[in-house]
Amino acid sequence: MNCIKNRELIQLYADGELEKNMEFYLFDHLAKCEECRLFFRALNAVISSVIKKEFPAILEKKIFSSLIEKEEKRENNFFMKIIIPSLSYAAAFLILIAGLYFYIKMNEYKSEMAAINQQIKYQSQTIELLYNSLSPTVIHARYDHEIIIKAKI
Amino acid sequence: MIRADTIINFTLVYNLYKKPLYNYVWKMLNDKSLTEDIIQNVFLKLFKNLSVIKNCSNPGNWLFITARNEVFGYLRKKEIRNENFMDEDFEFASDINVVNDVEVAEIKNLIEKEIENMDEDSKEIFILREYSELSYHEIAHILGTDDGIVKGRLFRARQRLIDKISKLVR
Repeated sequence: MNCIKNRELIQLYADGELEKNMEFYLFDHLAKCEECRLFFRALNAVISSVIKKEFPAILEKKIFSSLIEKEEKRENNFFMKIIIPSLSYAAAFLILIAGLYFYIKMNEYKSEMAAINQQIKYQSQTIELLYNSLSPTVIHARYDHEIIIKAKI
Repeated sequence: MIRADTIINFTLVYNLYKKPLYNYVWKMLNDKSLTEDIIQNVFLKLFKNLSVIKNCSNPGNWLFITARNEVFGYLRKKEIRNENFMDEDFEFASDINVVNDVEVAEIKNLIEKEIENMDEDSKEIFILREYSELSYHEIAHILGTDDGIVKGRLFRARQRLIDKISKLVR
């Protein structure tokens, strides 16, 4: 019974998880107990028979090169995600401003045109009025380029 | 350009855990190229999530849990066909320097075979302890159980191995 408990302590010791104050007790028991000494040796044989593989250098190279690749892609993404959209926003904004400017200008021309139109209309009315107020005239043109205008009074 | 602090943080974690993690995945799967794929994947994930992981207490636990998910994801897909071919292990056993000692080599082979025959839970705990050298507490955290269960299973697994080799150890 005691040995079963001690074998647990041996395993804890082998794993570096045995409390320091228990070590003396364990060694004391090992000195006395042949069975537990054998168990300790067998446990050591088990633990030391574990063969660990070294980390392959090729894999290391692969990991770091793919990291660099990924980082470059991320930077490209940064360009694609930040620079290009902000450029297109700027372009859209400029187009909007230009559109607004042309719209205002167009309205200005429109009112200007309306004013000119009004003026022309007014002038034509005046001319018509003046024309009607004049007495009827007769215009004779001859082959020798003499033009005779006679007012009919 | 890669930010210097990111690469330093990554390299610190990477150097600390690359070998334990590699040995864990390799022993769980016994497949070199698959192990390399999973390891690469896990470290890429680590790099991607470094800012988040840096804040958690133990990045090693995160690495092992992520690798474990990948391992079990693969095993589920494969539906755990029990192919107990030991080719890889024999090839590996040949480059250790104690191979001249017939008895030691015999113990190693015996133990390798026994590990493969262990039930999944004990095998994983044994691998995490002996191949990855994690503490009981770390293993318990990764497996989502408590230290006592880890200890109990590990001790029983070792006891079985000791029983197997006891006649060879004098």
